[in-house]
Amino acid sequence: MPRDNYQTPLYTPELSRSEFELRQLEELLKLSVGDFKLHALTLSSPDELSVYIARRLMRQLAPSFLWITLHDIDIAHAGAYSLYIDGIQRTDRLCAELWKAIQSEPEYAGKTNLFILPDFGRDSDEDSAGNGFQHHRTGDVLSRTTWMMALGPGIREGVVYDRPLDSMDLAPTLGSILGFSPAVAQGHVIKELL
Amino acid sequence: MLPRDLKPEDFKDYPPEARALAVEHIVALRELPLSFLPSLLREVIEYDFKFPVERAAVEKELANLSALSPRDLGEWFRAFTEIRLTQKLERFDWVNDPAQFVEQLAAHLWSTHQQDAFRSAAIAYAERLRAVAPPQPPALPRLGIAVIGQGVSAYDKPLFRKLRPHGAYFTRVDPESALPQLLQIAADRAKAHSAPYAHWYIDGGAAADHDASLTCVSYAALAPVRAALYRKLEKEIDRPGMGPEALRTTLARMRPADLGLGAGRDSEAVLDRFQLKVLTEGSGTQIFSTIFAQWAAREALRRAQPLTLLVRFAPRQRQRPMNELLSGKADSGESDPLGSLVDADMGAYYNWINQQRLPGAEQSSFIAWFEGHGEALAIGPSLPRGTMSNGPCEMKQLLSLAS
Repeated sequence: MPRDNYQTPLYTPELSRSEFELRQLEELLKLSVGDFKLHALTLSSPDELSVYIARRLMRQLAPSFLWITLHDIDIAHAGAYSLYIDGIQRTDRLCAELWKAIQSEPEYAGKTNLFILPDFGRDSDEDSAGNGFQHHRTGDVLSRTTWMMALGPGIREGVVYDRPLDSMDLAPTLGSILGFSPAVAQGHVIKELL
Repeated sequence: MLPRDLKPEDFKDYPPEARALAVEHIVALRELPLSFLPSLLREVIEYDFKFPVERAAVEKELANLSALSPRDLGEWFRAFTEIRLTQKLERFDWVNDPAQFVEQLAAHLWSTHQQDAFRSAAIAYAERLRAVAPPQPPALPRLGIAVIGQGVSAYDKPLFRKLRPHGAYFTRVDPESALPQLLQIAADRAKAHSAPYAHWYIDGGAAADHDASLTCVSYAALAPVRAALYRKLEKEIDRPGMGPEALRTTLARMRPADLGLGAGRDSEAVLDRFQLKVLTEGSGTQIFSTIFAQWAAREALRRAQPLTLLVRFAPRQRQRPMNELLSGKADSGESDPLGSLVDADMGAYYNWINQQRLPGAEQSSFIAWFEGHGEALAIGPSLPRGTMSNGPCEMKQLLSLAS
């Protein structure tokens, strides 16, 4: 059944350490490579580093659109339940930190939406083709169903919408909010978020 | 190529017994839709290296297909025939590489929104097959044992939470000699009901002393094989253009001898192949001993359908960056006994679920024990569910209560 590219622990390309890329990073983050490395060593996971970079980018460049992919939870595919739980808790905390960062930056506070969504569902314990929490490969509905949390201006707080949506609906919805036309995107605008 | 074009010589590269089996049933195979046949050939091509229960299942399935009339075949496979495929899939060498075909088929089903249709067809086929060729009940009620928490001196959070609703929770089992008692009962069952690959002992660390009648697989014994695997992985990952899918294909094509398994032990060819697959098809089995034990148990239950299965979890190494874990010095790191206890607690639950999928589930028994401590959980046909006992108890008594 379907397999995604992240589930194998057997392929993790080394981070490029080319001088050129390090200089680019230095320029972008306004942070010396030495300080960056020093800070990276104090962090407990790649996602901590991603969020650190995101916050730095917000402060230095204030992009109007920022996409962050958090991968720590993918340790589930290596089958260690305790590490999976650690990953979930860390991601939850980092999402909250991002939201707090948005509220604390004048460029963002009060005028920024945050969308949080897992990329897949999860196999159920009972599905014979799966192996419990480890994957989302059985192809059953549960493995393909997930949730999305939307926060920020124009979005009603504390409301749960439970009509089925497609993850493809996100791109045209962002297009409507940000005022661009995602010409090649499929899916439909999520009207509850406008 | 389509199934109707199959010729006996197309199976020339299959192992001898698999080839004979495919050729024997070639008339039926020609009638099957391409959306289905490679999934069956994926089982057939491994026939020479399958456990006795699996061989019997493949034989039964092929015999059933050969016995179906053209009209019945049309009815059984109508839903599969309606799955739309591509010319690219038709051109794929699905006879010699059925597993790869199935992976590509899965991607195709996903991208063409035919996943639900395929899944429904597959479930309906499995139900029909089960109705005409029902699985045999076990020769004696199955016994599953999970020993968790090795190396943990104290743990104050609740254990066996997911198993407790299904059985009785004991708090004062005498830990003295409990492990030898569990191994002894496994050996006694193996001697009383001897059959190939019917009684297993899987250890996530180094195997404890056990009777030779048990089929034993251990993480520690496979250390040289894992080291060979790390070396191969490192080499493959460095190749230009290598990605996760390509690496998975490379792993799937490995043979036991590629990793130093099976030298001069023809009699263990089936077990060597099993161990190879645990390490090359399982996710994380190469680096974390807890998932190695759980996945090996899952695969032993699914494939060999043992009457007895004792799984002892051991501390896994601490998490470090994946490249470091796969560097070949993977086991030199510090271990994580507490995290491993949490992993194994969940692993024990999955072991029980997987045991319950097998024939005779209503008569089967299951014991989970916190090694070195008094906490244990017992599930059996005569044990009350969701109960707790604070009375002192020997492991032997617990086994007797559960069975």
